[in-house]
Amino acid sequence: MLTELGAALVAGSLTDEELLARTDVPATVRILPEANVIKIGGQSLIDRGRSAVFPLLDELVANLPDHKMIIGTGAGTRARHAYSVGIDLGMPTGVLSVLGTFVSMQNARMIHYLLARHGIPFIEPAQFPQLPLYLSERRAVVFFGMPPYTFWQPNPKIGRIPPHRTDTGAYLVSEVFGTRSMIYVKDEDGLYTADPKKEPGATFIPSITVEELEALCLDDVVVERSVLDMMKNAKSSRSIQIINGLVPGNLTRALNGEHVGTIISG
Amino acid sequence: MRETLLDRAVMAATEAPTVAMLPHCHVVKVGGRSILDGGRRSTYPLVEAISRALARHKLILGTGGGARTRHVFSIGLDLGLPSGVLAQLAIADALGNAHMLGTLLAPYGVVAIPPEIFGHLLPLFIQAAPGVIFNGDPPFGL
Repeated sequence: MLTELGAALVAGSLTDEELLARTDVPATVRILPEANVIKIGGQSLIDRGRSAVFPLLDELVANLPDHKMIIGTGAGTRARHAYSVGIDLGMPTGVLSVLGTFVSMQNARMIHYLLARHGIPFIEPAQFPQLPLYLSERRAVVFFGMPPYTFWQPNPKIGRIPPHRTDTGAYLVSEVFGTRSMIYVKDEDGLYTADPKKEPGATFIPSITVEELEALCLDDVVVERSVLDMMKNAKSSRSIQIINGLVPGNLTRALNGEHVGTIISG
Repeated sequence: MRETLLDRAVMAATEAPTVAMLPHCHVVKVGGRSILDGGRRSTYPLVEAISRALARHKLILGTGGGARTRHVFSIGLDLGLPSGVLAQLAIADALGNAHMLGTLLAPYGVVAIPPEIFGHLLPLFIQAAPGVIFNGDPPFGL
């Protein structure tokens, strides 16, 4: 009844690397290959309020006829506040992760209410099984970008800030669903050699591989490092794009497959 | 049974004694901005005082939202969102503070009750545990 691999898995150990290597075949199915995951930055976009959010949402809505969108939200200033108070109180990383989730959920709800007139739902992790229906009916959904690990968030290597945050949660959606794009909408043109807000002389990097980026050993990067780590093991989502959401037209160009902003490939 | 519920005389007639459900419990609301946002400096001494009080009193603890609620209101107002939405958003900030205070009070047996089932489980847990904690917001939401 079982395949040869199946029999080997039943009888063998799930830590046997030789056995695990055999589980890479056949190739994984792309579950939602026409969908785009778009992550709207918390600190970079939503925290700026109407002046940044309204034009972006207008552009997003204009693209609905042509593109299906799974829209995730970042956290931002309130998460930094919560992390800072939480760390001072001695909270473990798992509790900080709950706090980050709440903030990203608030942002998702706000974006959702602003898109509600288009019939676009806000979905919790538990509702992801219904995602294909909503995409098919309404072209888009809104979700909170924080992965729902809550207490099960792993510890970071350094310090106590949860390492898998909203960039990572959004990336994991693009990977598991095999979407055609993973677009990060932030407030800089893309990746630079340093934070351009802190170092005006920083150089823009239009395209780079994960390996090359790691070799640069930059002190700061525009996207969470765990995304870059995960891209090394990706089966579907091997390319991410970071664009400046404050510039009208960038989102449309990215959705149409143009190279605007920075493309990081695995 | 066809009486209007707006008639003043009818309303006056509904004055009647109520049952006190949990007469031996104290409700303690811990400020968000005033206490928790101050971090360890303001929160730890209070945690110590609460831990001593729990030895003698049944406490129902609620928390406020603090600076994060003010921030989300400010963003929400700028986006033109109605009051019901702002109320729904603010619940998360008080809940986050309840998580943190609950973590510090866990060693003293304080039980965290999710807002959705707070009413259902309060009578059980307040009998079984020295105290319970929840977010202070009413669940009005939208």
